[in-house]
Amino acid sequence: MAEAAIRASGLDIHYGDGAKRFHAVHGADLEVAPGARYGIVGGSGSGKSTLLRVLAGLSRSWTGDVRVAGMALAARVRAPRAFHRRVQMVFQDPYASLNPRHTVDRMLADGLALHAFADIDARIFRVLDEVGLGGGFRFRYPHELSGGQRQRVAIARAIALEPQILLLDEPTSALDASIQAEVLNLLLDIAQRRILTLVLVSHDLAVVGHVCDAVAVMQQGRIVERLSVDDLIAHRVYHPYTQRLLAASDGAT
Amino acid sequence: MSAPLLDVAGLSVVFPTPLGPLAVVRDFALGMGREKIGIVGESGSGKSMTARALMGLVRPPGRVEARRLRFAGIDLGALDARGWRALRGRRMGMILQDPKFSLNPVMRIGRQIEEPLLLHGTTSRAERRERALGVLEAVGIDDPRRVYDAFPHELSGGMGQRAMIAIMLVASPDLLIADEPTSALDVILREQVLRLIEDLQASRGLGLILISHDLPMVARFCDRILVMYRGRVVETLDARHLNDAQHPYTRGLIACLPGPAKRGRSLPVLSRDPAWERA
Amino acid sequence: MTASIAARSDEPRSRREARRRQMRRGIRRALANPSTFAGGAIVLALFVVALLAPLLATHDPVATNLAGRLAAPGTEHWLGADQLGRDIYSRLLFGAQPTLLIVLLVVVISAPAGLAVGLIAGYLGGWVETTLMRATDIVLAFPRLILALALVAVLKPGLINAVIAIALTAWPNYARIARAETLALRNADYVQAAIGLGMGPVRIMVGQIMPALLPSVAVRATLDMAGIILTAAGLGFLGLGAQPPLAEWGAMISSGRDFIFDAWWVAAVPGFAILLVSLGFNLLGDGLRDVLDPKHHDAS
Repeated sequence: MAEAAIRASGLDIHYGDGAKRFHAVHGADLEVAPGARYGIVGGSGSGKSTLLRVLAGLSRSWTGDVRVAGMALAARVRAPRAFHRRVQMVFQDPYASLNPRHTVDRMLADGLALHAFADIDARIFRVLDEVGLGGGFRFRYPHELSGGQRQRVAIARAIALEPQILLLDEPTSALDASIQAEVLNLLLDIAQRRILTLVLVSHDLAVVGHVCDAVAVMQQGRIVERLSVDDLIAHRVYHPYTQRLLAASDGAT
Repeated sequence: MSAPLLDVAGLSVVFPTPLGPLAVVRDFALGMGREKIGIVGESGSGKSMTARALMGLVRPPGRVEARRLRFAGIDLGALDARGWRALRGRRMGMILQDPKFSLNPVMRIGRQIEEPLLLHGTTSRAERRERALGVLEAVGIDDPRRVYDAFPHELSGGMGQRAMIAIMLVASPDLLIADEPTSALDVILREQVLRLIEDLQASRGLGLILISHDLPMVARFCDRILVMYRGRVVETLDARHLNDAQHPYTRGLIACLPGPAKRGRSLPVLSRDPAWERA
Repeated sequence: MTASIAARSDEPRSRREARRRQMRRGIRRALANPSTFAGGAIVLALFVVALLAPLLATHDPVATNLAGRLAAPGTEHWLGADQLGRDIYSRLLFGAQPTLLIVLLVVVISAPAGLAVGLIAGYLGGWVETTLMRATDIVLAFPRLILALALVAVLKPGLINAVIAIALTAWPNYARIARAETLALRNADYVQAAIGLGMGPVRIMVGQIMPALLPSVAVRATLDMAGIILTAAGLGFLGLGAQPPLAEWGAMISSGRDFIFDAWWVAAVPGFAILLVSLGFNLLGDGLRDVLDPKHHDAS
């Protein structure tokens, strides 16, 4: 039995200290098999994005047991650089996730140089090609790119390091429907070709239903239900919150 | 069928550019009564600019031209600044996307709700407070007094949106334009806010124009849908007959929606035909 | 396989080219703004005058001529002569050199130091931030001119010591600006993404955050230049800056004080020069942001 790509147990995440401490996630248990397409859904304040950031090694204020890509994460310590080669994240807002003062080339080269890849130039060309952007985009600044193009760059940045796991935080919610379709196609294509494990966080059940095989439903910091997408389509849902989500979503069935 | 509340024909919004005049909205037409109209389009379709033109909010150097632009019998094209001020907030209201940006952060909610009353009526202070609390209750806020005294940053996204709706409703307008009113909210809140708007529309007999990029959502809540592409209305249809859409852009939009039925498969990508931009 | 999106044929082909294009666009935009253009012209004139003073002056700035003392502006002395018969016009031109020197040295010392303090404090937080910002607050609490006076009194009057004194009082403002912006930026998604790539704090501070701080600090520096000139003039006025017979504008005002009613030009001319140069730096500072921020929309 292959080791789980992601395993978390008893995960508690909080913000702030002392009196202003806010408990964002309570006792979450999660297991994602390698190569799986796993979705995490919930409304705002459900803690799903916060959970994802812990898995990406971007949060330090949590307790519990977390193992990602075969490496154990410790809360108080910065994750080792090698960890970030195995796990990468694509953020929600394409207008905020790219440094406005860096060219596309710089953004891609930075990560590659940091992890001591050889032939960086060739890799940049290849990965831009893979996300459907020609080499001419290499020296553009983010403000010269559309939302969909920016998200492609963000995806290129993430896959350039050849990770095993790709974490996606509402990657298409800021995009128009037709651009969303293109980006979703791209993600599925990449996941298939590179045999990636995907974890997709979204409030849109239609997107999750399209991309994922299994789903965890979160409400106010707790995982309230875990089910397969097949069950979701067939309305074999138990928790009232999941039922409300389903009822409120268009195109989720 | 009620008498036309809004009668628009040949509406265009033109901006001068170094390369010549650019029509951001071209030849928009709409005749509506007290019903729910949806305008659907992607970014750059001109849907928001159309809303602004209807409210007289297009600023120079933008220019609004129309063959006919009448609201409740009033010729909007002939209105001066004072005429617009009498209409806006009183007979026409607009709800915008993000309450964070459209609510005044340093003014309490109660005061912001009373503002339209201050501008348009001669009600007493006590009366204004009564009406403000009343409309807060009408938008489904459980504790109207607390929200009345609160500042916008003390409210959650959904409450903020309700507060905005309350501000627009307090003067009992005839027409309400909602420009992406739920894009900043999650699905459950979206549902609640839309139901609220729907109830209010039915109970008060408002005309509603709902503008969004979310086609399925608009189809669920509206009676009729106008699909806009690059400034033009390419199709008008009954919301119930969405699947009978004729125009390739509309069909393309419907086809590219993700869903579990198409799980794991490639979505058809919209290929834009330049012919759609021309009449 | 997704189709490739075609790019324009005039795309920049290298990092340097891309950056050069951005700069050029920014400069074009800045020059199109009339007040920025005016400010830039004044500052440029200051540089030219400082460099070419020997060529443009009509007299030796330190040559005294007691017979012609307090001469009114006329054909012999274009802007009049001071109480020792020295030509004010020539002294004005030569005085541009120490003025410029002081301003540039102070900024070059204090701005990077203040930026570094604020950046480190803002990014690392915790006790580092507390210590650094409290130190900043302490220095800020002193009135600038008085602190400069005290320092110069200890060190001894002189141009370089005036520079050190002013610089030591100027850095806290940059520190505060840098810290405030760093606090906002460190939670930005692109900084998180950089952390997610595995970058350490130093790389992030220097590579991700600092470029965003430069415009604000640069603009603040140009606005400060006016204040620096005035502080240096104040020191010179009190005899604690440039020493005679060096033609420094503050010192010129000081010595002209006694003759304000009879020979107003002795004090008024350098005073007006300070006014003009301060204005120039202010206007330039306003327009500088355009050049440094790639986010502004192109006019094209």
